[in-house]
Amino acid sequence: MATRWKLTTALILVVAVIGVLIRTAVTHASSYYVTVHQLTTEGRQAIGQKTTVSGEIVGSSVHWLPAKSLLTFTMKDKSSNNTIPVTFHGAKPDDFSNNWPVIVSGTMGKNGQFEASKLLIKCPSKYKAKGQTKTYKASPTVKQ
Amino acid sequence: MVGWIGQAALRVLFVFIAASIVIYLVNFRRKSADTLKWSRILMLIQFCLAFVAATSLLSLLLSENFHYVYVAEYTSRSLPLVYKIAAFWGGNQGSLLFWALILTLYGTIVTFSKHQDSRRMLPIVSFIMTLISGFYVTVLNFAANPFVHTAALQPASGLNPLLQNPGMTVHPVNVYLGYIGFAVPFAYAMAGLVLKKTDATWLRVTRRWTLISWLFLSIGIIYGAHWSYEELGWGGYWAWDPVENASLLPWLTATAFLHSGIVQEKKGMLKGWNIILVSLTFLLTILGTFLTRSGVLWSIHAFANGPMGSYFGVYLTVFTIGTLVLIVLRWPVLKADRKFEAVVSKESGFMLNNLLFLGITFAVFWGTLFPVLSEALTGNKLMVSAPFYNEVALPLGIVILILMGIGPVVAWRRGTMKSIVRSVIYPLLVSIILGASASAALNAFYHRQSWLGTLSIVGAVFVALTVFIEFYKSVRARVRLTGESWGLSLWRLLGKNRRRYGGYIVHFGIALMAVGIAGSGAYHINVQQQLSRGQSATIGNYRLTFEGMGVTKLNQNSRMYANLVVHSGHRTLGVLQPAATFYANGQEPSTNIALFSRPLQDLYVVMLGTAPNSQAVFDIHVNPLVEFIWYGGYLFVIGTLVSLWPEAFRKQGRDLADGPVQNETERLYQELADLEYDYRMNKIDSGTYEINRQQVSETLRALEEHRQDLRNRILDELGLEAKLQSGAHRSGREDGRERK
Repeated sequence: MATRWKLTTALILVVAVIGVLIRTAVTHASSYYVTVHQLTTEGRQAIGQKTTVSGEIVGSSVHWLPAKSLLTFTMKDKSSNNTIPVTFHGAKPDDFSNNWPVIVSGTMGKNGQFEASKLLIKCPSKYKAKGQTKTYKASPTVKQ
Repeated sequence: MVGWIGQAALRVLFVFIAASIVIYLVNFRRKSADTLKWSRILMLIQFCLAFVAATSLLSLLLSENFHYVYVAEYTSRSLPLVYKIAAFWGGNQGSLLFWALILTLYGTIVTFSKHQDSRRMLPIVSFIMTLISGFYVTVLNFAANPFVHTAALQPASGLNPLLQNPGMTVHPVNVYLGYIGFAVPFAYAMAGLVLKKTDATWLRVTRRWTLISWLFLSIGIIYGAHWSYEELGWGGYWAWDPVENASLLPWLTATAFLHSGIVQEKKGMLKGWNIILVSLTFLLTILGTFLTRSGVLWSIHAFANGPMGSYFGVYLTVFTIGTLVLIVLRWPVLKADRKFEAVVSKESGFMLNNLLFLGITFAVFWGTLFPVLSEALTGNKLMVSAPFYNEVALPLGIVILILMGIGPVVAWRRGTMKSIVRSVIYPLLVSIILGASASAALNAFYHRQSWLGTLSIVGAVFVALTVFIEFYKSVRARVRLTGESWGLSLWRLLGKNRRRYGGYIVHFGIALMAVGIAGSGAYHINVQQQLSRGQSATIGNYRLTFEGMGVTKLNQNSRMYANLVVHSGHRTLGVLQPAATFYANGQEPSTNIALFSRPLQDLYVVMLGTAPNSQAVFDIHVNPLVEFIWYGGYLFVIGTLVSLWPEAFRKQGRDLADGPVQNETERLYQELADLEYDYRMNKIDSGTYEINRQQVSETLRALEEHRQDLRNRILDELGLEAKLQSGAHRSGREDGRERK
């Protein structure tokens, strides 16, 4: 019986440690996950919050400055006409075209510009609903 | 016509599976003696129908029949042959058909196999396999039909260029073969539950299925990582995105299962646990498919996007509930044959290993489904990013690594802390010194510092050392015993216990991969720079000089490349040509990375774009030790193959007293052998060895007597029967056949 009891205690301890690990990691690395529409209706409240936004790329708005490694574009919503302007310092993904679904993580600036630190686009694997994703991280500023 | 045949085969298959289910149920109810014969016929016909459908889709793809939507969507006239074949599983509908094909193939192979108690088990196994195939065939018939035909020719859109890579023929096929294979051990586990047969038969019978599926899935994952590293151009190989996680989840539980299965086989413990693990693995493969196809994680509003998602949702729910109910009902018969005897033992070590694997599984599951779960729980949709996974999985992974080094030296039943410490202290000290110096060297070279990186390198060296020591000690013991040469001894040793030594080779492969992951994760350096002609960028020990751009034609597409001359110190190493391909059909251009691979580091260059005055912008990475991941992957495959290779064919003499008694006897002989091994390897002292040996020997003697009894009784009864039937025509003929 003693063996069983000791073993159980040890295992519970391990489970607790894993639980704590997950809990702290969640607080470190979680962010709100909203649509463009939800973000625009939040208004000023959204400023400065760590947020992840999903929407679609407006093809005509994509502007890529390789020299500064600066990507600016507008994101739109499928369900409403609201849009937000996004800036991202990093590589421009392949397949960055009109209506392509995109997810950006970052913060909403005071000027209404969304500063993205991470960009996620669907990979063109051809499952209709959903393909693979590809992550782009913001890069350190480009040396000139 | 060809398409019509395929379509017809698919429809007939649906009706046939429905009929099969009825036939199975009737047979079960009647307790018909011919159930197995029926199962074999049903399975074979299912496979034939799936095969006809698959062949017809393949020939549509090869014959460029653009009346079919699927063909037009995934191929084009100019597409090379191999990608026309790959288009079979490149799309949603086709991959589901591929799934049904492989599932019915596996089902047929299993149902035609023969093993202990197969007459009782196989009908139920094949019934469960039929239920699973039934789901895919339903989806194929009602939600994702690959044979949609239109009168007008469809415009061919062709396979996306990013998918036109040899990887497309390797990665998805492996993942599918792995995913689908886990249905077999699951079906066996369920059959065992239904029959209240909870010994390790199903584990032994399905060990090969589990290992092969696991191997396919592992190859799929590693190859997928490699593909994404070389194709996508973000400098990494693993991004913790939902699709990657979906493939990792069943891999984690299957790995846990492979380890805890050993405990049930050897000690008759953890029976319920193994059933749970194998069910979890199977359900996670469905969940993975569900996540990749339903759009749950991308869509913000609806839980399931379109019919596909709801089909999978229903399927997942039905199987989860069914499995749970069966496990709960049968829980009383899943009692362990014996208890844990000591806190420190190989048994409890395996338990700890399982907890850690499940811990990572839970974290990855939680993180992947966090958007859905958090919305359900709090109303706010939240998501986690890559650091979440790294913060949980990396520390737990390092603990697993250390356990991998300790595990082999812990004895079964009763180990002592003292003997463990005695066996690992020197290897551990050596690996701390080696690992710390290695990471100090990396730190000096790349100016990065990481505790996790250092710890995982130490852990990896520790694993490698213990594997080496284990091999060395066993070979030495064998050499002393037999007087063979060292080489021959090693060879024979590998032949004698393939499972154990194959496993060690896999561990060594994992250690190499851990070094690669630690090196490339913790010491990776990256610079982005805009260069004019003649200018250079410096990174690590490399200097890259930009010598201008060029354009080549590739079929109709054009490829724009930059010439970068790479120097290291005063030596010129060569030219790298990162490029971008522009497609004639107006598709977005894709990047082609340039890679300079050396065993210790990769130089990885992406051309981000061009700027006025013929300047270009480059993204340059140096990934230390990343090649170790792929080397480790090869070893991993070799180790698994060693472990899979059939043991020298033992005489398959069928004993009259076959069955549970024989299983137990065999298990005890194995235990005796393990005890001997533990003792010879100094894992237990002579006192414990003697006590345990006597115990096992006594049980064994009692069992052998019992078995002899049983055999005599059976012979007596048979003899009696023979006497009764003597003179009867039939028995005479059978005797004659036996004499031949």
